[in-house]
Amino acid sequence: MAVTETEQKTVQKELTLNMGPQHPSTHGVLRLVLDLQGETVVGVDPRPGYLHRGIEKLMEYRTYHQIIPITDRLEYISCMNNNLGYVVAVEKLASISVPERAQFIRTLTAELGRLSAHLVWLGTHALDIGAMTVCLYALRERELLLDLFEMATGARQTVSYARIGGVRNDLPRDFFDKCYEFVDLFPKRLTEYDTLIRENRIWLRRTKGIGVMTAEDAVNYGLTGGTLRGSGVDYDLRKAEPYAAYDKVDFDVPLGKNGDVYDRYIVRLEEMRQSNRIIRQCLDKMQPGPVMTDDPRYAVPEKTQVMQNMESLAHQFVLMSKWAPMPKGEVYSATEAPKGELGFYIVSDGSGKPYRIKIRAPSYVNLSAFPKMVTGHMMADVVACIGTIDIVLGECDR
Amino acid sequence: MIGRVKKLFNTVFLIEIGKGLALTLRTMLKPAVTRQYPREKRKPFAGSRGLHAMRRDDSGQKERCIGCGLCEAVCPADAITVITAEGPDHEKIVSSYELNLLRCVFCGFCIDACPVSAIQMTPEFELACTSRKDAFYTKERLVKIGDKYMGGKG
Amino acid sequence: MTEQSKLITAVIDGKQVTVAAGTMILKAAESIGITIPVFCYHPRLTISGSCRMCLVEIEGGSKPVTACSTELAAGVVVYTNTPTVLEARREIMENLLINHPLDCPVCDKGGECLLQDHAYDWGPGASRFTERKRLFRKPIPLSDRILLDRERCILCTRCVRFCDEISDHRELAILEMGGNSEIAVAPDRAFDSQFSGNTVELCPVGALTSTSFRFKARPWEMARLPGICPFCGCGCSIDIHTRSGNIMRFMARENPAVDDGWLCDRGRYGFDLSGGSERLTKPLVRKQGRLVAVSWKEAIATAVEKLRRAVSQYGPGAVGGIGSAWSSSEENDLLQRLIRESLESHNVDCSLTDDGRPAALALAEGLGTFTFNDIDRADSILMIGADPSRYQPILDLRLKKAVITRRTPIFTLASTDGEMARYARESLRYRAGSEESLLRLLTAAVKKEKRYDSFESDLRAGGLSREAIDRGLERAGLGPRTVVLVNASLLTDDVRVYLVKELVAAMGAGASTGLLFDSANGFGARTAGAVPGYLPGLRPIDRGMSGPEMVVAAERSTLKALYILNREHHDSAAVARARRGAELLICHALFLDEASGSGDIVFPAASVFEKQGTFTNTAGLAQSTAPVLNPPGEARPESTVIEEIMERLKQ
Repeated sequence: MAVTETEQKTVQKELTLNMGPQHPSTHGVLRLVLDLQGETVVGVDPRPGYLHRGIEKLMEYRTYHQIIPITDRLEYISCMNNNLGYVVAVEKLASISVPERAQFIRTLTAELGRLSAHLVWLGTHALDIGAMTVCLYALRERELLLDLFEMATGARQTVSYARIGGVRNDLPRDFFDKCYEFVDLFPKRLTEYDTLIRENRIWLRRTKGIGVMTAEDAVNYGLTGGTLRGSGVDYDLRKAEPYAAYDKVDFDVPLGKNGDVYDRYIVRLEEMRQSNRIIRQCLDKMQPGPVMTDDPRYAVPEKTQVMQNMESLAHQFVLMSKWAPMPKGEVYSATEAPKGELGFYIVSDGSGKPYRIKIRAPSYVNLSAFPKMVTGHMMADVVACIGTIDIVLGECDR
Repeated sequence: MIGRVKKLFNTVFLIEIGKGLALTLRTMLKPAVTRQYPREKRKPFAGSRGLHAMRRDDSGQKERCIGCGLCEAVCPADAITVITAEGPDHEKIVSSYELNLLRCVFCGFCIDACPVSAIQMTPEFELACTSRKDAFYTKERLVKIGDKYMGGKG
Repeated sequence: MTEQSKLITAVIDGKQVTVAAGTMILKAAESIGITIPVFCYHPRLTISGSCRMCLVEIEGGSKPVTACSTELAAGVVVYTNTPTVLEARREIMENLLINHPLDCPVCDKGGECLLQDHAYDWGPGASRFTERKRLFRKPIPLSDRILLDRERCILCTRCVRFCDEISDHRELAILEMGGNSEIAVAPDRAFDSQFSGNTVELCPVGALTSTSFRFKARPWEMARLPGICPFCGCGCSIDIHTRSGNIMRFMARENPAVDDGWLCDRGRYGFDLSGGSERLTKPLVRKQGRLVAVSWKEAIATAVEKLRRAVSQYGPGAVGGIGSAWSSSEENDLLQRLIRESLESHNVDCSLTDDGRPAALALAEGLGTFTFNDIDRADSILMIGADPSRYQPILDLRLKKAVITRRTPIFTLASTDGEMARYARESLRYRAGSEESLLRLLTAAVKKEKRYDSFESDLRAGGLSREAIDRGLERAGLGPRTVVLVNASLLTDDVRVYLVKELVAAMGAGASTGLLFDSANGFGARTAGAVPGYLPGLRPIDRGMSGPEMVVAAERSTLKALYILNREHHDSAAVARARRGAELLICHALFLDEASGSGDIVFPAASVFEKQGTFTNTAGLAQSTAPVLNPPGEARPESTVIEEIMERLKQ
């Protein structure tokens, strides 16, 4: 292409632009160092770490039980899934069996958590690209979910609901009515979001062919979750290694084709529809029963029993003050969190506190593909790409 | 061919944008979901985890806490400090119970840990205060909150 | 008990184990990392076998046996985790918990309780018991220091065995029978043993609690830091438990070279001495007759200026320094460097009332070589003027152990009543002040010299006879592997030192001598050079005034300046006497009392728990301690202050 001399000068001059950490569309405190040539991004260097709280270290100084509230603060918009991912790992370490009702409750709440996370993603992603209405609608539905969380757990955000060996409490009676109401309503609302943006020409221009990851690249970069499935790779831990009650419910894993921002949008939207299906099945299939393991080593005793018999009191004391001596060993367990594969690698030295916990945070791994996605695109596409990999910095920086 | 015509039609007449605007218009006519917070208050659900409260013992004279310190042990945020001492009849008395709401994460573990159900959570969520000192809840303040929410009964 | 080192091999839980014949199954299992739960078993007490928690199965055996009291036989196959064993443990736990009160929330042991842990690990998980539990009045005081809650007691008898076997005071016993059994102070006895605190630590449940710790803190709230007990010359290892900057309690930390895992009550409950709200927190300097709080900078500048002026005006001989046998070796070393190097005086000692030199001479002459473990191996023990029961309690336990387990003969010679006399094969009293003739006589007797006539008058004065001593020596069988324990405070002059040396030499080459210091660092203060005539490492140097001489000189105003380390451990009357004539009195003090208040410059000191230091115990074992607390206010460790003064004096 022929360019004039002055143009050449302007174009060849590279500009380094610092984006974030305080930037609304970096979804938290992500800092990006962008190398620009004109408006084209030629290089990008993500610099995470502004939200580092030393969570893995904090965990080493708490009992297995006390760690549960810390996991709330990883990916703080889907606390249910983090709680679940952690307790599943601990249960694998100590071979704790969980009663069926608790498994269904966990599946149900985890899917509610997925919906709440995806709604925030959809809202902010669309907002970044310029569609403001979607955000308002998405948060409107999320409010219903938070109400459900509050009914089930007592908290709206940092739920700390899952417990090692079960869940905190059984679901209250009126939860079921509200939840049925929600699953009836939600698909209609999903259609509404679709109406707003699926065919919208601006949306299409901003998302089609942007941030393309081929299936091969996606696998090589270790992507997981919707970011991976947008590229057409059929990998979902709920199917691949079922945990909780996912093997007892029926659902599809939506896949994309082109691996661009648009496909990932389609995949996540469809995932919400599937989550809704799972929630309905859980509600239907749930049978009455205990929600805590019957293994007295790990089950916190019933409150009514604690001051009634000596055994329960001794258990209460040991569990609350130093937790059970756990089996020695190492375990890695992963669950499908809204962002992707959330893994907990636990090293146990046989005490009530973990020797080391390493968290495989999907946001962090997925962020590594960001330079690949964005390089060569325009400056304005940076925000679309951040939105599409769906990161939460609380989890990324830990 | 038909598809291309349809696409052209859609493009020219801004069909998809029209659809979206229609949805917006419909929503506009529905009642607003936004709550005008300080004026309109939502009633928290039963079992909501808010501000702590201390129940009274069966006599109704003093707090129910027996000073076992399990809440302090289980608190993942180190928000609770219990100081106990020996009473005149060699009994254990709670000389100070302090809850630091600046640290509290409202996980509710203290409630699970309490063997005598002395410490409870109320649905009270309006906890803003103007000085750090107000965020420290002593035994006496907690008992008062208990009186307010649990009618002072044991 | 066989003492042959015959080895046998057996199998425990599929693992092969080789141990000495006569080893109990429990110990053998421990040696290969298999833990068997116990209540009544304690490695340092005799085996009781009463709790039945340690039941294990032996292949081919008819029923489970107690691992603590069954010797491992060659070739047997032992299982510690069969369903039968687990069932047995469950049942034992269920039985123990039947009458155990629901006290965990108000029990001090909660969180570190064997019963709680075993109930969790091995118990049935749920209770079947619906009847009423056994009730007792609780708690009842056993002594001023210890309370007993009989409901919580599981009758493991650890406390009773401790009192019977270790302290040998035999105050505790089991009264009544069967379900009514209870621990109690034996009729007509008082539980006033100086080792009573150990029973609280031994108690696997919360039945015995100490009044000083009741309801103070939970085990999980406390930081545990290793330390050395600073309250006598033994230097026992302790764990210091602190909570938010306060010492909550001391626990024993087993050190076979010193304490065997026991502590005396003086050490265990002594920590309150260093606390208190009236601690000095700011340096004080006398201005127009009144002590005024000033900054450190000013206080040190004043001290430097006044010391310098004293030396230039009156010469180095008019300046003296008093270290302390209760301060660390480092501090004593710094003090003697301040006096000897910076002020070029020779007047250094570690006490105001006693001359520290003779004991230093004794150490330099090679006395003071014994270790606590020598007592375990000794053929016989000769004690001269020593009363370890009062001044070195843990050594007292060592001696009792030797007498009880090995029947080691002890020959005591003392001027006062001591508990050890009860354990001695032979014990004689002499009149205080006749130590010199006693030593001469002993030496003559050991050497079997006939020329004892010359001491006859001394003998009568001392209340001793040659025959008595000869008989004692014979019955105690003193010889080459004898340990001679001499009260260090008897060594008041060089003659006595040489007499002791001669006595030990007469015993033979294998005899070892212990100088018993009653202060925490009496040994270390001397080896650090805080005595007249000796530099650190007991290298000789010109001899200056001793402590008592300095007091007299100060009173007469020939000594003008006196620098006192660790005022709390010096005699107040001596300080007052020195004050009368001295122009300058500088002291480091924890508290402001009459003596420290009479100083011209008073530095707020750090207590022994607030600074680092090395203490050498009476057996010559140097042990370092680390600070566990922060000094209050602006108080500073003495060493940093002396260092700064020395630095300024150089300029």
